[in-house]
Amino acid sequence: PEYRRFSLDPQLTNFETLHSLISRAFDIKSDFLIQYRFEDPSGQEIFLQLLSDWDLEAAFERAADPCLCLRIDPIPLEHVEEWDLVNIPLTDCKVVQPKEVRSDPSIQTKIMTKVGKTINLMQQALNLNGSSGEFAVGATTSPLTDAEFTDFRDGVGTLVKADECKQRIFQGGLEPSLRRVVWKHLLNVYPDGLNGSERMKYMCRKSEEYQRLKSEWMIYYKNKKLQHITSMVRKDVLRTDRQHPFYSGGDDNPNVEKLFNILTTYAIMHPTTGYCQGMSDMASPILFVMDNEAHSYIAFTALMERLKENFSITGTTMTLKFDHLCCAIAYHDPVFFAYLQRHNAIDLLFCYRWLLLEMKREFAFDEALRMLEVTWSSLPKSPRQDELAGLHSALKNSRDSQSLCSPSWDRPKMEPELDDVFAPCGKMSPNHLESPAADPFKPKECTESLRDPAQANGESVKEEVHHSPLAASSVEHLSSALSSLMNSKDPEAQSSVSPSCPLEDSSLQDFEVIGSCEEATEAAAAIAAAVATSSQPTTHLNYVRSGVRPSLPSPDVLGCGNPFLIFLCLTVLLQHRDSIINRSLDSNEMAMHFDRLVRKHNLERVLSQARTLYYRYLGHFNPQSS
Amino acid sequence: MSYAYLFKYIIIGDTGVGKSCLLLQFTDKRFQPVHDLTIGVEFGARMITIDGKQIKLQIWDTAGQEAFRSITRSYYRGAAGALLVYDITRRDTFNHLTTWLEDARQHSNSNMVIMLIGNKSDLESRREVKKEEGEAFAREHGLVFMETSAKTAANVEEAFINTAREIYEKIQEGVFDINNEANGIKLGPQHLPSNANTPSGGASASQGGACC
Repeated sequence: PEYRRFSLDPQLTNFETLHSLISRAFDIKSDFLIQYRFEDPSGQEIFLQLLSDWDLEAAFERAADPCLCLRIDPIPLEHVEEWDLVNIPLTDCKVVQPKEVRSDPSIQTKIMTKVGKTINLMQQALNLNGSSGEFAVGATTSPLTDAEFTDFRDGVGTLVKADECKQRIFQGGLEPSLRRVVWKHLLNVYPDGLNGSERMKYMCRKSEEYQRLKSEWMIYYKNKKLQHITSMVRKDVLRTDRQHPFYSGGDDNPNVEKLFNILTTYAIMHPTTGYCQGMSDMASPILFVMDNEAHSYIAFTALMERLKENFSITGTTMTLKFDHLCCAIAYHDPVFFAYLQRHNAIDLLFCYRWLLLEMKREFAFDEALRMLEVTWSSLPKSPRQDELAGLHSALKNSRDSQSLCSPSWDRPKMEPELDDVFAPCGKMSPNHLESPAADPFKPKECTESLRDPAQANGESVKEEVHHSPLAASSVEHLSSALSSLMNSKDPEAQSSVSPSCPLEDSSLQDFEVIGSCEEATEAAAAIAAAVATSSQPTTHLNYVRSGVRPSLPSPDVLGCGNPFLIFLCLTVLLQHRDSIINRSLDSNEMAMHFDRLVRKHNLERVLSQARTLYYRYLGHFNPQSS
Repeated sequence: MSYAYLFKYIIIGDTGVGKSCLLLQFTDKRFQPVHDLTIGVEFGARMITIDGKQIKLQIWDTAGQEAFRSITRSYYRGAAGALLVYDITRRDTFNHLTTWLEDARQHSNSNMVIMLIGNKSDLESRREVKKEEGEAFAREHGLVFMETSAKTAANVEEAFINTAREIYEKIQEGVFDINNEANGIKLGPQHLPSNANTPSGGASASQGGACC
């Protein structure tokens, strides 16, 4: 056995922190069981399982010694996950390598946390002071640390300062070891307000559900209609991120197989969305970070709630995103806009991959992880807030709740061939596979699928109502962060007085020149001409004709739920516009230029500038004017 | 580099038939067994020579999946040539050819030259579609046919160049209006007629050719 000794502050340490601390201390890759030593009244030494914040609290209390002794047993079975332990009698656990940890409660951790926080504040202050520098406001701070993350949660591990936490991640990203935990928050996997042990129970339940779903479709693997999906997915997982060590090697790499399972299960469970190319690119980083198939499925499903419209066959959302990006270029760089227009490149089709995969493939894999978490931290909270109640009832009577699933369960017939997948096997109709009540991840699908009118209407109305106010609230958290960065007490005032904004620089002046600078006026005329002849939706470009100061769509509209993405794309374009114009590249050459840069963009440069532009956009955006 | 003509191509066909690998073999002369799956449209270009004239091929490599059809369609119109690719080891990719062809014919200009390609000819042992079937399909629909291997490079040059030759001949015959860029053909910069009002068709094509 190996021994480690470290100090914890019982006030600050929760179960998740302890778990990740131990996994790092012993460098344990697989899951493990934590037990603590306890002397029962007869003086006999026993080990009790430590599974939650609750247990940990008890452990701290009961630790008679000046130190708490923990025993760590790795769980050799790959598929047994930590939440499974709830149901596994202790005697069944194979003890492989008993290890002991001694921990002294001490104030060291606390000090480190405070110091870290101060440094962080100082960095923010320094950035603020240095705002004469080009991208100071958007500059990256250090990644969020474990200790800091603890500060955003209360004693039982509930994430109570979600907005502050997201703001912090937006500036600096996450320490890689934290991703496994924090990505689930960022991807809105959990209903709001769950504490540490509730989250574990939640994941446990969802994971069991996943295993069940998977094993059910696997029985019908040979079904022809199912094969349509599996063969598509198979082909794609074999060419997704294979250059990364996690997925490299032979086609029998188990991670490739896991990716296949996740995507196939998703496609079968979400027949209206199905499988589309590009999804494997989005699932791949999640699996790498979670390193757990069931968790990855849950997180991927949560991500797809936001992204599924990207993959709709009508392409409406993608068209809108193109439109928004186009608009952003016109707004920030009319000269480049005119150039694109002259070269028949204003359809921006070479940005298709950027918008579909949210820039994931434009950065090296490990940098893409950072880019993704920064992007996700800027997003509006998805409409899952009110599901806590749903979850609680689901937890209470998870079996009963299946009765919610009406027998007349019926999907919109967008992919009729899929409706027949399970037809030969009457036993397994889709409603057995996925009970809406048992899956609060997909509120929309639930409303689609539930034909109980009261239920369906109630739900769908709720969702529509949710959308914009939530989007606005997220913007609020960033724009208030912005105003605090800019030392302003009143974000409203800040956003309306752009000329006195201390952030003036050359690119900001681009906003102001429209209508005054001759070149820009010409460009604007070109834009107007383009608008007049364009078949694309033109609403956002109307400002040019009206001659009014340009405005971008509001944050709840821009980027169809991901306004920051538009600024990432814009930044990459702006960083290459000189070289494009100087070499007078046409639209195909531009496309080839950017194709060559796949996975090669400089993340730091892009992120700092994109953040700066985004902050400025939020600062300038005035809801009253639109 | 200067060129007499620029031809735009589009490569279409089911996902996984080797469209991107064909393009890479043609433009870079290499084979990449694990290629990123194409999202939307990717691009390649290469210069070739026909009849002593430099011709620049600009190639749009499209994603095969249905979901991208709305974007790939927008590329059909501006293409002079299309490579319609299936995989000789997968019968279903051959069965889908009719759909692809209908789609291409419906959205492209009527003169677009279409070359039918049965790719992966190196995998003879796994062949599911006979060469004769490919030939018959091509005959029936008035296409040029070839079996290729992006892996061994067999017939890859020929596929792209024969398509170009056919386009070139159509220009010579005056079938293509080369002043209309929507046809996927452009005169090279120094070959542009000085008079903007040059009559269309074969006349200006032979003028363009004559000054080389």
